[in-house]
Amino acid sequence: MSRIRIIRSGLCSTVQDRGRTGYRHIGVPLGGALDAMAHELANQLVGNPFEMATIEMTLTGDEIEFSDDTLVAITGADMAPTLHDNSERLLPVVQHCPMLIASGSRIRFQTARRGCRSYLAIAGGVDVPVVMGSRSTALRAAFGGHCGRMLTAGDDLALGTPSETGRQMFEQLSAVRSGTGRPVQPNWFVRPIDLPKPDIATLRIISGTHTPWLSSSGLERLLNAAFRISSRSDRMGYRLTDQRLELELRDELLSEGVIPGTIQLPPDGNPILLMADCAPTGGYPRIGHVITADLGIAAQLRPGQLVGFAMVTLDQAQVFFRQQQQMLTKALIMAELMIQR
Amino acid sequence: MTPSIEPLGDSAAVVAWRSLDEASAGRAVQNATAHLSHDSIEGVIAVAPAFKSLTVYYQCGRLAWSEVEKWISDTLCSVPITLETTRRKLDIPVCYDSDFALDLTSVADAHDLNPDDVVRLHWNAIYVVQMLGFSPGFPYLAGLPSQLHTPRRASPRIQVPAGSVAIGGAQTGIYSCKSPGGWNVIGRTPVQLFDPQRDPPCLLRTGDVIRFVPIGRRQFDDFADRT
Repeated sequence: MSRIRIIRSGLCSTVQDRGRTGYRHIGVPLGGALDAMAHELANQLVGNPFEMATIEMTLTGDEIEFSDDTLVAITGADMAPTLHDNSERLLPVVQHCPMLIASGSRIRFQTARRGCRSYLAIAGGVDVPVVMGSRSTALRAAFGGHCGRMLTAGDDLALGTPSETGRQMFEQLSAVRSGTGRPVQPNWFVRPIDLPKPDIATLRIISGTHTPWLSSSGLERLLNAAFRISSRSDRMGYRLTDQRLELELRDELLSEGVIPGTIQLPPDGNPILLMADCAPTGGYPRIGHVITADLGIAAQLRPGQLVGFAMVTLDQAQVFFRQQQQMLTKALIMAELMIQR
Repeated sequence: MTPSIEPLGDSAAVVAWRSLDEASAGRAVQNATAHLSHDSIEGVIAVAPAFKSLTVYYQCGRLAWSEVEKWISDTLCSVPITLETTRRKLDIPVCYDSDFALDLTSVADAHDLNPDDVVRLHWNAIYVVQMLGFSPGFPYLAGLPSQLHTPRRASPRIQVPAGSVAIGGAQTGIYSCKSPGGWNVIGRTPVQLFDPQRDPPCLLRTGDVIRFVPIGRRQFDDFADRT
């Protein structure tokens, strides 16, 4: 069975899929890839069905060795990956495109030049056990993924069996390869999903139950000021600093449901943007929600970066999400056509 | 009473009975959770109960808000007011040994009680699981005697051991996994409340009736060794 080995680990690399949807009633976070679109695209580029797991890398990526000839694809943040074959020759890698790499080769990811999270999909997926319906790593509760934790140097992970599409792609690219050990990539790539602008990114939000509790200057600032993503940000949530928002109305709240994208306002006035590993309930006022279509952009924001918010309606949010899904489907149909050629 | 139905972002809804008292809201939540889960429609992912509300998660690519709202209100209209539920009764052993009861003295001091009185008051009460949350399998229990209501610690602990039984305000709960936390720890149970490898992974369910059974240190160690 094909395997990968972590030679050098990144800052926070975990095995992720689409998360655990059915256990929030007992307090289990949804989890899953923070940039779901990038994860899905990477999977599809190597012919993986949607439930397969990828490796999510954060800010600085890993160095990974492949035991066998393997079909892979990289999406999301640009971590300047390079391929190193047995004779240590350095070969460039094109993202957003399938790639056949030779046994014994290593992919070396650096620090992200743009974006924050990179996804490495491997044909057949990372074959960690399914725990409570998912292969995602639940970091805080320490289960799922690879031993319930971040990947670390020396980790050895099994790969699953590639799908029929993955196998065909592998054969096609193998036929092209001249036996030099060079990476083989087709002469096309899918249009990358937008990464946030490096200066100030904008996330679209819809109002929350407690948005009317904000003072008028608080609401004004939520919609017009720039917030900084604090370094105290992780897969559970981003702390937003530089602006304090105050509430006009204050009431003790009982914990109610929250979802990834929810913006909570704790008493210190610095909002917290919840991400995929957030608890399913929270007791702070909910002053807005980043729309699902923009959660991928949120996942690519880096600590220290500025972010602003723009209000849209619930109906618009749902339309934007459907449009995004259509774009993804279109990109994949294009890719499939090229694979068949 | 008709609950409020509010969007929670673009892919969930909160159904809340905020003006009802705790017990009636709890019954309404359980009743509605059962009915919504039973009469689910395509595109609805899950229904999760909280204290005086429940959350409905849906696929925003499949269902529009208006459809979700209509389904919830139609389903709840047809819900009979009371639902006969058989509540499970569970005994949970708790060791109040000083090794585990990190905040027992400060809780006792706060109420001018002996630590022994705190312990007795705590295990003598009957509790109901109101909600599971915070961390996987963490039960929020209603029924804490008012003499024991204690504010959370000024600064939370970075790591509270799994099994810790603690008081936070008017509630008591059990840290099902080791995690950071600000509740006052007064004992520990050797019972594993959450195990991802077990089916179901969570020992308790919302609505369960809980009694704490005090055990000594040796019983705790024996129990912990056996499991």
